[in-house]
Amino acid sequence: MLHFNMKKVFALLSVILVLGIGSFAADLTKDPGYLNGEKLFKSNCTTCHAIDKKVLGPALKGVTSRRKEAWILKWVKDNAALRATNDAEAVAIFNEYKGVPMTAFGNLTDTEIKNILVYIENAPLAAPKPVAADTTGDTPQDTTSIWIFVLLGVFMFILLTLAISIENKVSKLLGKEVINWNKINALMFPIMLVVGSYYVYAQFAKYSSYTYFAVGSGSAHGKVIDQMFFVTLAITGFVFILCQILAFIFPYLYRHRGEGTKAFYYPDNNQIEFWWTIIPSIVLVSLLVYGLKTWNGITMQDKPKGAYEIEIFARQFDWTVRYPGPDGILGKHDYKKIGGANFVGMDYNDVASHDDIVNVGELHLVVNEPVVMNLRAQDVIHSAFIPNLRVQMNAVPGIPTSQTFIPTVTTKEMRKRLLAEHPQDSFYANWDYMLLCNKICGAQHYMMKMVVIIETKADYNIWLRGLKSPYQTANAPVVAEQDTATTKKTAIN
Amino acid sequence: MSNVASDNMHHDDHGHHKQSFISKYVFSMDHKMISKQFLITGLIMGLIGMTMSVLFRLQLAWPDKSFPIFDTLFGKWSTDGHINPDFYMALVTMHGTIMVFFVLTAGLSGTFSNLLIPYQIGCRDMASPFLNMLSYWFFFLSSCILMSSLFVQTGPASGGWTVYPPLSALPKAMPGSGMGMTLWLIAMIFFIGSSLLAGINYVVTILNMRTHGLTMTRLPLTIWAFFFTAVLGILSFPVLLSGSLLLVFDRSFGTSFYLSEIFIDGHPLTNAGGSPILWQHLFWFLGHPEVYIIILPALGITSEVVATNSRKPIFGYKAMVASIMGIAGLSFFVWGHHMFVTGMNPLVGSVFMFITFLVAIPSAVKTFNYLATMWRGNIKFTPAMLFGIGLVSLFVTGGLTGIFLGNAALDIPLHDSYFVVAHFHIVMGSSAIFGLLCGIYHWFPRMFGRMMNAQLGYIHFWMSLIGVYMVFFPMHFMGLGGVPRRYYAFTAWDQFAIWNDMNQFITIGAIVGSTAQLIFLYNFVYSIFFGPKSVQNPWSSNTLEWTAPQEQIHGNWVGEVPKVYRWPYDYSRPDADADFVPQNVPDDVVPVEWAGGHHSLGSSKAEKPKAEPQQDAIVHFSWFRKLGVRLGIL
Repeated sequence: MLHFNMKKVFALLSVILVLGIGSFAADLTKDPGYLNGEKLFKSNCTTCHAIDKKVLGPALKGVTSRRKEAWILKWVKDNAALRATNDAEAVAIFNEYKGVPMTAFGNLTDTEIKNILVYIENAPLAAPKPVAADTTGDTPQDTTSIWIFVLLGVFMFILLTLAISIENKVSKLLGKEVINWNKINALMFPIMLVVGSYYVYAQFAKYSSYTYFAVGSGSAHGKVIDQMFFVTLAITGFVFILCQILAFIFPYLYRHRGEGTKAFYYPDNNQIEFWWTIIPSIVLVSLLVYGLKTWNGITMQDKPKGAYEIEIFARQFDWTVRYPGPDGILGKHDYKKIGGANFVGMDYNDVASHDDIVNVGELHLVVNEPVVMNLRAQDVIHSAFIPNLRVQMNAVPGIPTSQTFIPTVTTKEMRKRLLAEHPQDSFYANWDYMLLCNKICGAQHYMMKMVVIIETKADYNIWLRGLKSPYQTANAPVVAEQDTATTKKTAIN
Repeated sequence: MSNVASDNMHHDDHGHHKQSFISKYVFSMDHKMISKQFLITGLIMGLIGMTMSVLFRLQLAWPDKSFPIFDTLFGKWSTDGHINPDFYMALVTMHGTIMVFFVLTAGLSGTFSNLLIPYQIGCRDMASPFLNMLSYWFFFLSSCILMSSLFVQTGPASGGWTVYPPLSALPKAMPGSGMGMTLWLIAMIFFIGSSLLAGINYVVTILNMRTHGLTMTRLPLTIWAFFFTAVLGILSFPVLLSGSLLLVFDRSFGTSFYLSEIFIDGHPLTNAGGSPILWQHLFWFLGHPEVYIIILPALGITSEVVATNSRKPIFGYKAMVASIMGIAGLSFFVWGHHMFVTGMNPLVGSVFMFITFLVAIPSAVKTFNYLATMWRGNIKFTPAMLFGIGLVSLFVTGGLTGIFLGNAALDIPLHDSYFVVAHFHIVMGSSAIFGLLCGIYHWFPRMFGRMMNAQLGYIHFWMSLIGVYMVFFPMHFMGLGGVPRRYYAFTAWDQFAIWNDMNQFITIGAIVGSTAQLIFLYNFVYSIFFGPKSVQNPWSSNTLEWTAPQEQIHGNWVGEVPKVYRWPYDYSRPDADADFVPQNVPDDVVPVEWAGGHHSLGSSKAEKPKAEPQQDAIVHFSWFRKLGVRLGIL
């Protein structure tokens, strides 16, 4: 139990109050000098300068720490004169900006320049261009409101501790608890159970339609995975609900109800132990067998007949796809040959690579045709993850990996499904499958993506015809007719 | 068991008052002081790790807003109130490293193993107090080295807490893989040293220095948990040590253990024949036992606290010990489930999947046993008990999602998504934190001789529980929406725009949860100095630590160490007057075995003692009719 010394608490309270008021009083943005500086800065300086970024001239934030104030005054009034004195800093700036001098402001007084400096050093920074629509952020008021919020929190906390200490003192005086905390805590459990159930329900209601399981998989093996998922969800969901209800009801039911009561001495029961070991085991083993079957079905299959090969090449921070060309064979590769147009490192000693087609940032797949997706990385580990196809495989430098799958739903069909699920959201009219990097690969990891387009064979062939192989582009500048003839053959037969 | 050290140590406790400040508070060899050192260092690291998480959550939730505090805190790592992407990665990496190793391994295991092993087994100190001291100072040094990496020019390690090479091996791959990564590895090497010194000490102490009468089958479950934790650490940490050394070689001496056929920064490297996957095997060979190194002590602490405050024996003591053993044993053979999509042989994947599923069985048994312990108990809601119950709830939630992720087929779409983030933060992050807090509230009187404020503890618990579920429950949905983890922003991803609201909601939850921890910290620090003095055995507990005198003396007990006559869970024995029978109560006062026998449901019912007037079926199942009446009383 806390024993607050009331005097100490009030002293602390007043210190916090003073500090709080002090911090408001120190707010320079209300200072007349600052306001004057703001006006002068906006009318004189903004053509060439900004506070926090380089425009024509340098960013000015921190200038008072970079230069002496007396120097700044001289420089602003007449920088040419300053340079004439062979001032090293002045000459350096002049050279840095390639001899473009700053306009002289002989009309400004020392006080005015100092006001501008006050403004520069204390002005709120502008928000960078927001990517989304929201522009309401980033104002100085925002910071103030945060501090007010923090102060309020501290006050509330102090009030709370005061209340607790008063309660403790009264309890001590009376010799018994004023508030039955045990009962309150016990009651909190069923209350939290109700609140929590609603919370879980609300989350499901709001978000489950946005999970990728809601619209089904776009690949053949994905359907099996989805089925597996729902079976697991049903079983774990049942156990989850059961155990949480028990964990939140037992505390209420079996709370301590006053002195003289004893719990039920019940240390062991082998029968019960046996059953609740054996039942989970049976359920888990069934799930395991089912899971192993699914896993083996997906990964241990032989290369299906008619499967075509592609290669995904990963590097920081983009994806490239290599298609085998008319011969249907991906040529050999050698990381030492990477360079120039051959940035995926094809080994041109292998003639199979001569017709290979390379395309950055877009992966095209033929619907209902099995594809062997080979993966290769140039620098660090990346991972090709296409959530809506239930496809994921790491791309590891030095170790080729692959995954085989059959896309079954074209992009257009999937858009229709998604629109049916969310008719009010026009975004899904232009929705695309995405391949994203799912293994941390550097600072721009979060931007590393590739559009995946699943289309009919006819559309695919039309698209592929528009591409050229880097080898042929580099080594055989051919006439237009020949070129068309070659690329026509690249279409899959 | 004979107590070899007790005689040697005995003369020491006459000299404890002679200690200088340095030998008492700094280079202390007393397990109690070392445990406080671990706790306070761990809490400071925890505060840092938590603050980092709130900061990067702010960035993640409002990527379009400017937070000037980032500029103030991070200097050049922040632009216009936005954390830079590479520093965001550094924060995520440091948060993970700090929380997993420095808070939940050293902070949790270091604190409570040190405090409770000598106390609960009735010996005067660890087998080697010197190694014990060394273990703390290795840990302290390691913490300092890791923190210093925040101040190097290229920034701290930023390849995720798993530091997969080649990303972590090549300074050209990202700035954080420069000096920061070197410091990370050095910190880790010292940390492993600390863990090994501590672990060997724990195992030796538990095996050799138990007091008279304390057979292994009479050990409190805390000690069983600490024992297996130490064994896990001893067997798995050296593998990470060698792995880290190989990475140091690759980084500094041009070897190719993890590197092969790499083209970076416009040039091919000459490294050939290495395998980046090798690191993953070595790392997860520690990494998976590591999560049990984290959760087992938390489970042990919870067993003790739930039994004490339910005033009931822990249900199925033997099953609980067997479960700990089972989990610990299996944990060595499941590491591959972190690597299902690395392209490893699917057959190997099947084996790992098989063993992973087996781990769920002892985990389920433990959960049911906790629930059965509360059943028909006489529950006193101390803050420690609240956190214990909270742990059970979290362990269920997080454990069940493990059944999804352990399934290799389901792991294909779920791997490295927010579903994983939700899973492990609930099952071994928050659960273990709850276990840590549970232990702090419960043993605070033992450590500092004072009580923490209970009401602040209640507020702390309810805010934490709400915070944890606000933060991590929604993440399951994000994961099922295909949202990948370790992304700095989703601004470039239109299909993830739907999760923006949720991201903000989660960040608010993180702030709620963190604020609760500040209340706890206030309570903790205030109570150390100003909390009311505690009585010797404030929770009416059975274990030996509460028989030691209130004043902490070197050697723990004045005179003889206590003898043990019974197991530690004789709560509410029908044939005893009080509702607890401490382990050192001789068998002529209360018989070791209750005549009612162990313990089929039928026989127990038949011999139901008189002293439980409110505990019959009518009371239990009519609670809903009486709810209104009770509310009125409140």
